Amino acid sequence: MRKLSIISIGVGLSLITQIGFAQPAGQSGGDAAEPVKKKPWRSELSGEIEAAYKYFPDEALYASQKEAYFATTFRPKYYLESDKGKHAFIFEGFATLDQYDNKRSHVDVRELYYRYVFKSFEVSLGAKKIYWGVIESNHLVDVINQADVLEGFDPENKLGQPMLHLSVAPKWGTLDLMIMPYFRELKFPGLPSRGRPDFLGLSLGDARYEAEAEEYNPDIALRWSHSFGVFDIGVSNFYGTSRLPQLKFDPLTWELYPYYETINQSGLDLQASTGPMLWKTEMMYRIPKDTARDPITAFVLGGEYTFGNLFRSGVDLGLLVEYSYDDRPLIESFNGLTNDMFFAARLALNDVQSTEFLGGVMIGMLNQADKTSGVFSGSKIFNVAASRRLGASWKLTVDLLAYNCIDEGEIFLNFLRNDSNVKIGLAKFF
Amino acid sequence: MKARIILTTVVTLGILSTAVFAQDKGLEIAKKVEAADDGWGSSSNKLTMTLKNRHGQKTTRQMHGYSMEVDGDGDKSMTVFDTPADVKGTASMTFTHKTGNDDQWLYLPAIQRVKRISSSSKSGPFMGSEFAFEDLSSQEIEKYTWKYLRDEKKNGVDCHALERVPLDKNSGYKRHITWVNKDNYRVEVVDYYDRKNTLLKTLTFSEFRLYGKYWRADVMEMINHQNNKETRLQFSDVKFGIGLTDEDFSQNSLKRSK
Repeated sequence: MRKLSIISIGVGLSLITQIGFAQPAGQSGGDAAEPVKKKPWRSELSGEIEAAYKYFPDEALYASQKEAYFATTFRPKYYLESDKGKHAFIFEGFATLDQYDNKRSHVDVRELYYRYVFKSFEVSLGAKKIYWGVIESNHLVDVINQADVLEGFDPENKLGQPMLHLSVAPKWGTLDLMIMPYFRELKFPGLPSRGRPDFLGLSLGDARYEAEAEEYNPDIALRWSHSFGVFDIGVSNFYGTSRLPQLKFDPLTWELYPYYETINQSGLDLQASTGPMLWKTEMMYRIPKDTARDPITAFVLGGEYTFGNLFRSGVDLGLLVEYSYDDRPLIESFNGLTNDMFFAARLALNDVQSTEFLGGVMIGMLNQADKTSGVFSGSKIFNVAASRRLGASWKLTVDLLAYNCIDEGEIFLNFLRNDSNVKIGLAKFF
Repeated sequence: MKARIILTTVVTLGILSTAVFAQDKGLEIAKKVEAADDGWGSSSNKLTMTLKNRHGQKTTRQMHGYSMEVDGDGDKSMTVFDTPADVKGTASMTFTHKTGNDDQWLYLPAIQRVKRISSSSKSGPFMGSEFAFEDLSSQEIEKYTWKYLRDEKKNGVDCHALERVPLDKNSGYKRHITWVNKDNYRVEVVDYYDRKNTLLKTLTFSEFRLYGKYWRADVMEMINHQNNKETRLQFSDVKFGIGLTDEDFSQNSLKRSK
């Protein structure tokens, strides 16, 4: 009797389950719900390996600097994601091996985090890379990640930043909150790979912090961003340890050391997209915690015009102009962009091999040595890059960087004036 | 004299009304095509794009994505590129509008950057193929003026032939001729005429499948008569009723796309 009732309950349950889940597969069109099915998690391993050769035509300023060198870079990526993307584990690694420079060879975890998504709410825990901003030549508001200057001066190369990241997206925009419990220092390469001052022969000491907790000082950032009509806007605030150090001299140890101050930095990034023209601006206002130091105001104004399908050839030509201003004296600003004009052109052939050319020049408006000013008075940094896909999974890149007419007044650039170089890279993607 | 005036007036009115009739009937058929496709809600698919050059050499691109109908406006769509390997993970999110420029954002996975891009170069080629961006964006009636031409058989199917002229000055075309299936109002073939009014390309839809009451072609083939290149789009894994909302078309979902 008991056995029969168990069997009947079992049969009944399975029948109910069948009816509950069986639904016509979209016969009525529209948004009829699909039957619930447990789907496996998706995962993928991908990445690239690049071999690069860098050649410096000018004579080196310092003894241990090399004329040319090879380097190889490995960037693996892996993700594991549940069916609808509710749970995800994301990893991005990085490793560079430099032929001569031990300080430049390094390994980093760019991203390693767990992410949970529920409707318009998202939370991530772990190391992550965050990008804020709309300007190409001078990233004023992109404060979250430390720059990986071992890979060059482009701050788009970033070190992974450990954080707790909460993001909500109501109708009126997206709100991001980041709490960062660990600070990553700016690491300088050694002399052999060039592109670095020799700090007058002084050794570089350990980093010192304004914050008592030093690298464990919890930094906090908040940002509101929104897209409406032709506008994309972001308003942000960061409080914590500045990612860019000041270099100070300690007469007791006779060495230079990086000093990381505590700051409150507010940022604005805004873009208006009107047809072929993009209008862009980034603004930054930084208040050091040390009230003896002045607040800093900096902004960039820019525009980008695209000639799409030029003369019906399929080629796109984009022209960029950006002006950078910073009210600090030149010696205090890290990137020296206090009164500079940037001109660039981007040519995309839109061919099967995705051939692209990019050329730009950053010009100091004020000649620091003789104080003459004008659009072409000061130092000029030229950059020309070309890239093309070879076959199905290879890519060839050629990068030219030329320092030109570096006037003697430029404190930072003076050390780099002989470091013009050409870099040829061949990458394999998988 | 009076008879002449009356005759001229009658003939002119006759011609005008034929023209108006042709425009009205053209728009009417175009609206029937739109109505036949209304209410599909949201869908997702995988896409293989095969490019063939004049020597017959082939290259393939793979991508996947999803789109959603928007009440009173054009569709929202998300496309993620899978191959070639160097663009894997790059994603594009587009909000089409019935009038004015579309809104388009690009996600660059190497630097985690979302970039809003200028959308006016619709006449340019999509990923080096024979499809221009304007060929692929959601076809809204308001973007054209319509004219009914005739009824005729095209590729063995009874069709209405319509002429449509793009209103956008930046369009790469002077006009198109579309052949619409008389039975079910699905588009079978489109001829594209360049600005010099020479036949440039022909788009053929084939391997149709019925999803509920909606027809979708599994294959779209574009042949460029002037440079002898071809591009073939093969859709697979097409799903409807996937319940997408505006949240699936946000900056965050663009950054999360894989």
